[in-house]
Amino acid sequence: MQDPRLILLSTVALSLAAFASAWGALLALAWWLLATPRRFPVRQWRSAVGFFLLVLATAALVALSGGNGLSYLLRISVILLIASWAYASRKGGEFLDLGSWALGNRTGFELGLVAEMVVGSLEGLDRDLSMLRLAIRLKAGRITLASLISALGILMRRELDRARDLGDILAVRGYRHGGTLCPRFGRGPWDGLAAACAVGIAALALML
Amino acid sequence: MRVFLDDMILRRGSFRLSASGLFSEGVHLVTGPVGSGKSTLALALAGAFRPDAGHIVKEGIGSSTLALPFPEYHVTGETLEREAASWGLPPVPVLEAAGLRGRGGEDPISCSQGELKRLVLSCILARNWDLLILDEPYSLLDCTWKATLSGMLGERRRGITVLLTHEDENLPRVDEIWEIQAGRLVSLGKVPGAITRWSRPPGYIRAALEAGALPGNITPDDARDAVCRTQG
Repeated sequence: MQDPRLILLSTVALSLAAFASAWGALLALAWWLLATPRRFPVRQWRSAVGFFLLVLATAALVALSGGNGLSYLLRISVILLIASWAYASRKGGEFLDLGSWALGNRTGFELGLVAEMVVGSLEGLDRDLSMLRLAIRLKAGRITLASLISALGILMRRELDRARDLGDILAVRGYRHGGTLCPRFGRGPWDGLAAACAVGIAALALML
Repeated sequence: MRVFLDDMILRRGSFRLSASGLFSEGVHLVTGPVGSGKSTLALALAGAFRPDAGHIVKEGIGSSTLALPFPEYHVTGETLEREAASWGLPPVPVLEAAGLRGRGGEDPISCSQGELKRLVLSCILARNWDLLILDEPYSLLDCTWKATLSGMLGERRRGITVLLTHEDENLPRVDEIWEIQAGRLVSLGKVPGAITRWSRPPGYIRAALEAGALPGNITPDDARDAVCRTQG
């Protein structure tokens, strides 16, 4: 799927379906198997396993308190799978395109710009943490809580510096509010059908 | 002691870098424009990830490290002296070498990036690594500290030093020059012969070559001496 509008629509619809019922989650999983490249779109398996263990623990708590733990596990796992697929499908500038398309060149542009900056910061933080892990490994030193807090404090300052630099660049370029953007969206041959199926699954799950 | 790149290929999305060759004892300069793959190569040499094809074979390497371009990644000490101690080094001489004498009790967060860079480089260069990889060590340094760093690198007598940089103002004495050309790491050979094959030499080397002088090595002093000799 290439069109970010349809990716967003499908993500919302399938998340709703998965949240609504276990059958909705199964249908959403089937959609993921049929309509996506079926690659597990998480770069770091350790983080993915950590997330899954967290969901597993919560499901166990739900089961112990008399709820349907298995259904919870299935529904939340599928929601995470769909969310990670949507995140991995993202391309730079898409939020700006989406915002401008949906809400115009003033409010939409600004919301899109903020979303781009947030995602950019998250990606920067991800890179920073990878480099921090590597540097600690190279140093082969003993990591204490105090040293970790110190390292993270310095990284936080780096992130704030980046945000300030970005603000300065926007100010220097005369940015006040809004902008002019004519977004163009690519579309794969099956995008429309896949999105329609996602909406259908959501409707079915909500009705059942 | 050697590092052998055996038909190595590194891929990052659409980016591709291939490399074959041997890093033997001495100082190796790897140059190339921004985005050519120097940092990717540095990370691979440091063992941060495996090549997508081929191998990196390290022989006789007991200790190795990588100096990352941004010093913040290395800093884990709550104070400057504890940072030096975290590298297993006595703080006083390290802080003195970094130009931070008397500031051992300060929090690293209060230092500028340039000061942190000096501290981290001083810590790294205070130890004798078999394999030392320096990724853009000149960034964030002023011209005085660039010259100081070049002097410190020139003093390294043992081990393999791989210096990856696009520095244009001040380089140390090196033994071999490598260049990344169109996604391929190419050895230009030993200095001084390699200087004539260098497609993007620093401005002062280019000026010397245009004046008909071949510097003995690649420091600004070498270029100046060569020009003086040529012009009598």
